[in-house]
Amino acid sequence: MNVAIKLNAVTKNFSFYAKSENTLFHSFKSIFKRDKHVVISAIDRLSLEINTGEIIGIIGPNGCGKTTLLKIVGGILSPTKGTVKVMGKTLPLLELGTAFQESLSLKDNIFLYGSILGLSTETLKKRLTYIIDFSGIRQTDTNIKNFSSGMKLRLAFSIAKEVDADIYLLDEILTVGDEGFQKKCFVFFENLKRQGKTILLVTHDLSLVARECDRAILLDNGKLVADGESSSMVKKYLSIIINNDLKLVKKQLRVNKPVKELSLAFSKLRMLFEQLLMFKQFRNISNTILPFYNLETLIKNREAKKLFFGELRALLNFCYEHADEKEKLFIKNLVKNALQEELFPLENNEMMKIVVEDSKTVFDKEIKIKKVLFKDEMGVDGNVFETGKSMSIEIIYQALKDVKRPMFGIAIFDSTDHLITGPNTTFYNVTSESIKNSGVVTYVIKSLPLLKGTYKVSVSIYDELGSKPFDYHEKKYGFKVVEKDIKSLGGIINMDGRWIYK
Amino acid sequence: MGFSNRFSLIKQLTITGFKLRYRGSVLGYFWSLLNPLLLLLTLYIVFALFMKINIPNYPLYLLIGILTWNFLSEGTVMSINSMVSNRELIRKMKFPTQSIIISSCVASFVVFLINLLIFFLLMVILKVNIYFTAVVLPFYLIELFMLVLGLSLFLSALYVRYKDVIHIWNFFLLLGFWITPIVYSTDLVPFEYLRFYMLNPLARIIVDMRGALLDNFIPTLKNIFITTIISILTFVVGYVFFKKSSKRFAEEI
Repeated sequence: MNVAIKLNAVTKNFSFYAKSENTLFHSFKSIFKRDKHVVISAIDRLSLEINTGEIIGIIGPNGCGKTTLLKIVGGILSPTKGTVKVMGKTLPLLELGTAFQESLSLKDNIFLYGSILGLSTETLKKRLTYIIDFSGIRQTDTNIKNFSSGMKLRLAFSIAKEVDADIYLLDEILTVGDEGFQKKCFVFFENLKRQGKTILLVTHDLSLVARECDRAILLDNGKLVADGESSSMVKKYLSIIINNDLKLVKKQLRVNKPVKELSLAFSKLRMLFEQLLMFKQFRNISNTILPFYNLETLIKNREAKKLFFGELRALLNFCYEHADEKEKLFIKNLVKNALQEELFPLENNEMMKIVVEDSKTVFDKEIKIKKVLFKDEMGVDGNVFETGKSMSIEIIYQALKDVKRPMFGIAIFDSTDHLITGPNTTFYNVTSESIKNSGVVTYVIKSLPLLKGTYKVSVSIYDELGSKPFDYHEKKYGFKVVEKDIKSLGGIINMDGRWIYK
Repeated sequence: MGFSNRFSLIKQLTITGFKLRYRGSVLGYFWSLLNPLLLLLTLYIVFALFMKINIPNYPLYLLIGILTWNFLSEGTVMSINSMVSNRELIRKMKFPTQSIIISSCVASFVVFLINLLIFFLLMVILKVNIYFTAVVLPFYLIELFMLVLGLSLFLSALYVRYKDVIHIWNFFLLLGFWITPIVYSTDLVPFEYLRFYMLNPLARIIVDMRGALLDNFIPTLKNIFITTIISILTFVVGYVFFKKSSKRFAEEI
């Protein structure tokens, strides 16, 4: 394989004066008296080799040097030490639409931005109508200062798309903008992949890295921490976050009385948080709760516990206030689940009240979903399955009383939340007269028709008429499908059909 | 980036510069003419009417000096400012940074050329003879352009490092206006200082241009040689300095 990018012991230092700006007077003064020089090492002795056609995710905490690395590879910054070799043309897309002039027209801006990206005037003239069409902007004769930020983003992307490069450096651009725009970004990304372009992707969306990248690079404090298969890198990164937080919290709270019960509760709460944090708009407030977010072994005294619940409540309230209807429902469900697990100390709190009342009316805990397992043909549980192989979903329940003819159901959704299928026991005429204690209900799929992708699963237990839920876990579970033996068909399912010539 | 793409980029940046410059102003380009004309009027009143300087065709004499000086000062100041206004671009995008400076200088040069047309129009109106020697003008225009571009590149690169360059340069421009033969002739300079006075390349260019345009005077080979060398040298030094410094622009600006 050809090497596309080769970094050899690259170091990038940023130095600035602690007190004042760079001025001549300052330099003159410093001849006599040296001022304190602050040096920050953004990249520290980084060596790296990337082959042509690789899709590389770059992950790490804020300020770990991700963007600096992209800038160095893209030739915007030059390294302080070490050598950088880049074979082919790079296209750094760090921030879309930086070059736009607010007071100029749409057309002028297309020409300006396009030529800065390296497109010739002729190309731009030829592609002008296409670019405008693609951006979906209709008001073509106004200044772009009247455009919304989303429109500008779409416009910039439509122009940047026209540039043909060998190496693409993408900084968070797949995760900005509205849903429609993201889809367009994604199609673009898939096309690049198909064409065998080399892509460096910086993003905070870890699931995107795990899903789309072959390989990931984990940076921390400018150093290369690990380099390898993307999903194992994501796991490693999560453990680093947790460790860093632990250190921080250790500093803040010097406590060491162990309380076993709490540690269990907190580990569950942490999962709750993780789910909550998956919401993009809540991600930016994650910093405030991070120190409290894996207190498992740390919060062991009352003070800290109080602090933790206070923070959690504040976060939930914040999220709830800022959420739309769909998200409110999600939060409610999270809290409901947490309540069921008896994780919250109940207090006078408006949002909590709503949720608590809701949950009391909605849920009757006669029967609970204890666990859901996904098993492959060998009966081993996991969450990665192959197209065409058999798979079974086991619902492990626990009944507190005798429950008459309960209805078990699952629903499988694709990554865009479209329902694919929703089988339940009543529909299949498989019902047992009454259920006691605990047991297992299994849904067996002989040959998995789903193609490559991630899928979410809801599991529910309703009464026999399907009107009252006993327990309902909405999209709480998920699995991943890979295609091994068959050629990729594209889409979601393999219909197992045949073509016939006559 | 290939040559034609670089050319496209400079063209687009220049057009954008023009559009931004004259946006929202009723008179547009005419401000670029009005300023030197108002200066001309002021200086003419002071020096011709009050101080009674006796130089033939004094308004035209004055105007060519003012226009040339105007090109130098506007070109350099606009270049330095363009580094500020394109800060975000320099920090976040990959493109040949010098095209910003080149386009600023080209924009000032275009204004200079249009102003020169007005100068010739004025010559016709005032019924001043246009001599054959005026054919050397394009040569001096190229020299001037290289000089201004070289200076602009040098100053802009320095500005990224030291933000007070703009203040110091403004002072130099004020000083330079009076130690260049714009309002007066070199005859007024005491002979013992003349050697030092003529170290100023712009002084040589203005004297020679004026001679060719107004006095039917062909510049000496020695003068042509000196001004050419200085212009090329300024350009090369400015360009190399800019190129060398440009590696740090993204982090320092």
